[in-house]
Amino acid sequence: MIHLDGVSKVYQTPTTSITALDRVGLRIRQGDFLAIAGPSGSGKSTLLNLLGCLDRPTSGILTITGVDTATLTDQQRSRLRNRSIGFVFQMFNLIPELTVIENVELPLVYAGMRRGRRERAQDALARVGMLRQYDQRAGRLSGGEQQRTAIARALINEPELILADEPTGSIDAESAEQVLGILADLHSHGRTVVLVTHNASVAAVARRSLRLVAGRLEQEAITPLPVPQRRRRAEAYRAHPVADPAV
Amino acid sequence: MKTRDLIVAAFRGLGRHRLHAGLNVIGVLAGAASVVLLIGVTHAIGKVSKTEAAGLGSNLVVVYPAGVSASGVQVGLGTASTLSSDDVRALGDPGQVPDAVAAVPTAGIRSNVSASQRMWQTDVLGSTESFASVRGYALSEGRFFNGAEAPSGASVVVLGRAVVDALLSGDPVGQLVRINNHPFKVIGVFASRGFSGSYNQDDLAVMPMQTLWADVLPRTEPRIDQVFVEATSPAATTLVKSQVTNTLLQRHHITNPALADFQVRTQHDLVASAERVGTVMQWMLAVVAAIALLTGGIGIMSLMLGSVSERTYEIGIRRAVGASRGNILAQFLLESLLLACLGGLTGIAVGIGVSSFMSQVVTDLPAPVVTVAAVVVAAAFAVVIGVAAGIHPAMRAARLQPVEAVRRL
Repeated sequence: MIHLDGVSKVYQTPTTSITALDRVGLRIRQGDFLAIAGPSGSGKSTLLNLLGCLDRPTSGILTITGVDTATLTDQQRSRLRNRSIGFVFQMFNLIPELTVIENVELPLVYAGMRRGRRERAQDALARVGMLRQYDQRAGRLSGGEQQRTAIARALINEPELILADEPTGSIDAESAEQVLGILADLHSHGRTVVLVTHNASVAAVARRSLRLVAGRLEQEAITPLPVPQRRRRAEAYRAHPVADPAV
Repeated sequence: MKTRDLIVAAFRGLGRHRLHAGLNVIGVLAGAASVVLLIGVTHAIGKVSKTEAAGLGSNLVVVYPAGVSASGVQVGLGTASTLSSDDVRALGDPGQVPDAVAAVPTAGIRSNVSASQRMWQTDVLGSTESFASVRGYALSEGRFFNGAEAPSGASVVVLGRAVVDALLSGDPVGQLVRINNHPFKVIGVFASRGFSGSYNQDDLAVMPMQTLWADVLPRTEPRIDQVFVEATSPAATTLVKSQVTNTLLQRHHITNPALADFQVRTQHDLVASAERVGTVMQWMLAVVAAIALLTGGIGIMSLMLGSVSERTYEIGIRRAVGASRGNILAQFLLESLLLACLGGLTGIAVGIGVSSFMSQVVTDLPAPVVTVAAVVVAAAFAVVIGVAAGIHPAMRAARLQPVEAVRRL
């Protein structure tokens, strides 16, 4: 599904240049659940931004579903982000002035959809247990609620690829458990999930892990949870989804 | 993205800076209102001066005394009395101005006229017995003064209808009025002529020139403000103008016509100069209105630039979930356009409101005329200002790389 070949990202400052990613090669298959671990500043977020077409590599080839992203126009990249990729950020990235449901509807707005938009947003909110707070301003929610809203937004267009950048980094342990449960559930439903984290126990949720050190990718440093345990986590989420009395 | 969603997003964006946005709307509002109002006023003034000039009479030539300074520069119309009674007689002489029927001098002053306990301010004019016929005034009651009363300085006066209505009851003819503490006998009343532009043609009192000089004008020196020369036909006015000019140059011993101490105008000249003055005024006022609108536009641009840097976060989020550059450009441009149009529309409404208020409250000035052109110009200005002020900030917003916008969190 995603293929990186010798991908580098170099940031130029007036005095020096910083290599954030150094000739990274990587294959991510459809239905994969990949964790990319590594210390702060190792280039994890840079890699995720490239995968999500939020940024362009300085050199190397990045293909998504067989298409070289360097050949895409801004409009095509926007469309790809809109239709095929769902982002979950550490800081949630909700528009605080909009309500929960308006935030969740945003990808549908840019997809040009009007009819059935509200219903789909309600379904997505119900999946993450946020339907009851649908009309609250996003800025007033707790960290865990904001992250669940952000996940609902990432899901609404049924994207094939979910990119999560430290999704549990700014929320409490209980909310983190819920968020990881949702990601595991998405994976068990066939979604491709790429999770970036500096936390080894979070990375262990994924089927396989890679480690980034100073912009270079190293193989499988973290032992993933045994398959039955990952499956149990997803099943536990499905058995006890986040309580939402409105559903 | 659907247009409706775009408009909603633009309104939501503006809603975040209600006060700031409101202040900028007021800026454009003032500009648009002044466009409507100023075009209306100049239009009205232009119309009034044209009708006033037209109301003069198409077969008249008017002579104004004009002072000439030592350097040969004319210091203005009617600033010095260079016309004498002998000049008037010469202009009325068929031997010197063959195509003239008559020449009538006038001098005037704004003065109080009183009768019993009432007082009224009006234009008190002095002239000769031919005044009524040359200026086209008919009499509804009584008579005009005659050739015997004119040179003798008889204390008689002919009143306009407005003066009679303000001061006298019953039959006005034979009653006494006081002007400058002198008693005058009313011998006639002009038939009502109504307004010519903003000038009420019924608001005047006419007496023999000698009487005006002796009893009303503060200066003892006899003064002539204008001489009306009636041509045999409207077509002859140009000819009469040159005959009058030659006669007066000769009489005043002036060889260089550029140094003439008088000016001769036909009705056509007056209409043309009224039009010129109107055009100049319109341009000046257009510049004032443009400056007002520009100020509003600069305000909008500064608001939008601030808004773009403040909302980098929001732009990043929108880009991440699928907004294209075009979507972002459209949203910010629309915000700017909405602000300008809001200002423009309310400005036009305010302009129309003030125009109608002015025409009701200020009755002695020409009422502003709200023209379709003024409304269209104001609306077009608002749209242009909105786009011009918004394009740079909107492009700046659209150029933001999604990753830069998201990274700045």
